[in-house]
Amino acid sequence: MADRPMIEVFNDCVERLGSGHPIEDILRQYPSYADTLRPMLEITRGIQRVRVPSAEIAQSQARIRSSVLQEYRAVPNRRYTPPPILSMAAALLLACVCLFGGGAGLVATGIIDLDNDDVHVGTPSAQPTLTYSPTDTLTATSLPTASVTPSATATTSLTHTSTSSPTAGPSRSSTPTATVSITRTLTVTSTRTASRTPSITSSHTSTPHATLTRTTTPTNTSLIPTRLPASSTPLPPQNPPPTLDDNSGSNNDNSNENDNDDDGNDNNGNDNEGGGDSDDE
Amino acid sequence: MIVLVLPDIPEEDALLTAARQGQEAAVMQIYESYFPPIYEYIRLRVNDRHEAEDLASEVFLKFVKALRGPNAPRHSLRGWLFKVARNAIATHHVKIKQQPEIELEEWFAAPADQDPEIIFLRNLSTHTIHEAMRRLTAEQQEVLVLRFGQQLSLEETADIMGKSIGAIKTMQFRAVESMRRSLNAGRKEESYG
Repeated sequence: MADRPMIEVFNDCVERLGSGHPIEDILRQYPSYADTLRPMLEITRGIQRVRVPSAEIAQSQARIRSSVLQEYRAVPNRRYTPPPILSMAAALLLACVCLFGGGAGLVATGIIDLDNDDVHVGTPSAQPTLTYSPTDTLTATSLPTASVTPSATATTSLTHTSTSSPTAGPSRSSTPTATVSITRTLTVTSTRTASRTPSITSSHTSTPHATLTRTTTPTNTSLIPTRLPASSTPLPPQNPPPTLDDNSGSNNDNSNENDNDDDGNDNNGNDNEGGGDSDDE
Repeated sequence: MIVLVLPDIPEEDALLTAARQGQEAAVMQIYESYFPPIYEYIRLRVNDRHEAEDLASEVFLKFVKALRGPNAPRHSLRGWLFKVARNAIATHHVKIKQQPEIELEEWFAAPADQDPEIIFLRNLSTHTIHEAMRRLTAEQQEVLVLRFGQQLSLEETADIMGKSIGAIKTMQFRAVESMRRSLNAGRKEESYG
């Protein structure tokens, strides 16, 4: 077996030979190996001279060129796109992350206490979190990457879910999901604002969506729940915006009863809030 | 000495990117640049000119097909092409189940010192050298063609052959040593005969 130094020396000589150094110059660097290296380097140089005639290469290249070009043009001009099922899976995953991730975020921030059925009002800093989550969702789904594009339907459903949560708010007892919790928080928020600006009561249930999504000014919306429990006779959403005084309206449908339940829960909070508010005032 | 005019690595990557984006000119430039070394590599391992041509064609058709697929080469284009060529040669040799015969038409002649061995070696025709190469193992032939014929670096050769750099160094040393023994044996036979 050849010793390691000899193998390394030979490789170094080969590199130098490849760079155009004459064999005698190279051997001067390794005089003790010169006798062994010289014939080996001659052979190496001989191998370097073995080559296919350029005419033969050119002919073959010309013959094949057209078939390569043909093949290239025949291949459909497509970019690699993942199979539709992968896109769907990605969209679903994204939707799950947005929904449950957002809900978990709310829980983590203490806005929602899932153990208690009562609605907890967090610190005022909790409000931005509430109003912002739908926006986050939208941003996430609107990513223009190729893989997400086919998931248009999923995106839509996602958007629906988040935006519709506030509407579904009144029936929260039936769906204890994170979305529902969001609704609760909304209600509470509105309660606080309501007390501050009682005149706004008029907006009522008619536009919970808008308020949710946009709300830096949740003031308008939320007055409804706050006041409704007190009166225990909530108005149906299609009615013209009632004033606080209108609470005595006689309309009573099932949904309103649900609202009443909600409001009943909220009532405790409202009382507290109301007390706070009255103190403020 | 073989002088390769291959694009350098950044240029190669740019070409490859353009080709993957569907630029026909880039594809053809790759073909023009890489066909000669690939064909030569194959031709030095496959005796029949037409078979070598078929194999070279196979390499580039595979490249064109792979270009727009998920398995398209993304970097080290030359490594990718040599690997495909290597596999094609291996498949070819399995098919014919024989070591190719030595029968090359026109090879460049070698030039001509005092040491009889050196004089002999310097006067060897490229045909004789190639014949001696063909008596080596397939891997030894490969390493000589890639390293000395195509002037590929140790790293590139190791990557193409799936070996370590150390193994390539050892292999090239052993291959040349074997050739030396083989050629000297032929020389002695000639002088005694």
